[in-house]
Amino acid sequence: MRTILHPILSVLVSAVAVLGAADYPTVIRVGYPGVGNDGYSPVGVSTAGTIAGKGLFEEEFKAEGIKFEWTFFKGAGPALNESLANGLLDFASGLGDLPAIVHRASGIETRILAANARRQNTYIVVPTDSPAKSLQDLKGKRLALFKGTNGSLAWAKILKDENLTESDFKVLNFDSATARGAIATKDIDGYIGGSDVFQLRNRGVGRVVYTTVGRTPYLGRFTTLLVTKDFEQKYPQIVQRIVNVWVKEAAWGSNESNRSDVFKYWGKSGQAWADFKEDYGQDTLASHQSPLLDDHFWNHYRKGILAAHEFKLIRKTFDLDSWVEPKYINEALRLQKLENNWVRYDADGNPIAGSATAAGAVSR
Amino acid sequence: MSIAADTTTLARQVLVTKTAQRPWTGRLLRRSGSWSLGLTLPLLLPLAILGAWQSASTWHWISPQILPAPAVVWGTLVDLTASGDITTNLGISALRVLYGFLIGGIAGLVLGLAMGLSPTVRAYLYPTFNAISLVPALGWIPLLMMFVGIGETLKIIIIAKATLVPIAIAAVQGIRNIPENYFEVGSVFRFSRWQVVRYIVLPAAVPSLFNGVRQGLNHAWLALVVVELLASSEGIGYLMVWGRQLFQLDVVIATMIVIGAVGLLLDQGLQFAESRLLRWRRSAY
Repeated sequence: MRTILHPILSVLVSAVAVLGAADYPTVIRVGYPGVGNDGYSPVGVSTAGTIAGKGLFEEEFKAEGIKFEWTFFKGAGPALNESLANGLLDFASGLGDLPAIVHRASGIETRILAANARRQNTYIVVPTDSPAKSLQDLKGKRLALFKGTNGSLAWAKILKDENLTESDFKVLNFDSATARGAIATKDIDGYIGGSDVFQLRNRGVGRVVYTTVGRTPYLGRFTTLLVTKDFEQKYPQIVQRIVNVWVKEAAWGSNESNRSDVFKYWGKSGQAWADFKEDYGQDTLASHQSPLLDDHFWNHYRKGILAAHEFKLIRKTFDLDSWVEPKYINEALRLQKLENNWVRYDADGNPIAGSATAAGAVSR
Repeated sequence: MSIAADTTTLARQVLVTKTAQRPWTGRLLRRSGSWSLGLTLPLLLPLAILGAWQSASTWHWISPQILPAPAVVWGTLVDLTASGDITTNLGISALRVLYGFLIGGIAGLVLGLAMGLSPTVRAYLYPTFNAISLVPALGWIPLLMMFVGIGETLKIIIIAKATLVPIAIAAVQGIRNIPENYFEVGSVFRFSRWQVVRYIVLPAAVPSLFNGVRQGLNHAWLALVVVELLASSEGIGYLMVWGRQLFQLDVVIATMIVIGAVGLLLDQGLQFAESRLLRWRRSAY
């Protein structure tokens, strides 16, 4: 019913909007592919999360009286995609590389505006008393993975990197909160997750046997800010202001003097401050929080599309150039004089010397 | 010995004459002389749905990502079959159903016959059994997960439970619905306890039992899909989850079609078997 009604409703709503004021929508709908650590609270991390938490979009459009309708998806990227296909969202804030590639491959028209979190690490955790010491030891075992999220693509790349295949394991589809619970009750032999695995270790129920830390940046995960093509064509000025807010907040989140505050703020998600600290280790904030659509971003997505196709996560490839719209971020950087705030990374993820001047731009 | 055999044959014929009956719809169709009507009518609704589906995609009533065109789904169905995805996963699912159905079926038959034949057993077990059977398969999963984890055992127990209930109930009802005068015929012939079971209870309860087995298999198949959706890394239900997570709704719909078709085949297969195996009941008609 939802499926049928919502497109009709949204057509009506936009018709009313067109008749009323053509320049501004009354409501802007933003989706975030996750919930807090408890499995339901509307909190997140990275630029996308702090913007939501601080109400920065709302603040920017207070004068016009535009309301923001946020949806936090427990079902992460795959659930967000369903909403997007039903025309229920204008922006996807912090959507992972794979789910974005998946919706684009299925023909949903969006535009990538800026990066959110980049080269995020993947960890594999096992119950404490498991005899496994490496990924190889887990062959034939039951592993939990939140399928269809960017973890899926990272997992496929990890398998290839380790000369393994998916059929070497029994991989079950669990959302993150359920997977963490299943490690605690030993219902599964391993969980492929992010820095949320540290809490299992800290509680004494889990042990990390694999990490992408220190391996090729190719294994990292990206997330981005996307807008629907329709919204972008209709309200380019609004998109510009959204990206302005985004860049400003990314600069706050990339500034080393805020390091502790940034992690504390992310801690609202229920995940410990220490987890973020450990996950980032010696890395600069900027190396993960840069909004730039640099060569590393382009190469990551270009290879990501090919890899997703190779691993049969999508059935046809598509053109990346027409998917990415860098003009808004370029304008935002220019307006805020932040062109040299972030170090640029080359296609392989190595910092380009001299590409940034700010203090926060120390290479990793 | 030969007298006993004669009397049982006689008794059987008396009973058969009383029970054999044709459903009125069958008679109606036969009378109208058009069996083709019987084949055409059931196809009308599916054709209408297919038409609506095709229209919805032709005129973009619903976004093609949410509801792919019938041709796309058909293509996917062909691809998935050619690549072996459907056959491999169906094989895994079929094995689960087979184990669950055998365990649940045998347990259900034993339990149902015991409760049907013995008022004492019925008095002890039936109320509890009834209460337990009212908790759907899905409701058992959280608790069972705690006990047996999320492996094959969980799936087979859930399927066995789903099978057991309708079969046991059918057995109890089948036996309880045997008319009293059958037993009177039995006592006229001075049947022993075993003869009562063998020549009165079983033949009279068989249609009901068969019905129970059919329902049991239906329930087993439905329960399989439920458990595979929840906790699985292979099987036809898992294929559906995979399709949904990767936003390939054509895979989801193709899987639904396969699940529906297999369910229908199982049901029709058993119906056919029933009509063949129970032909003796009509022989006196």
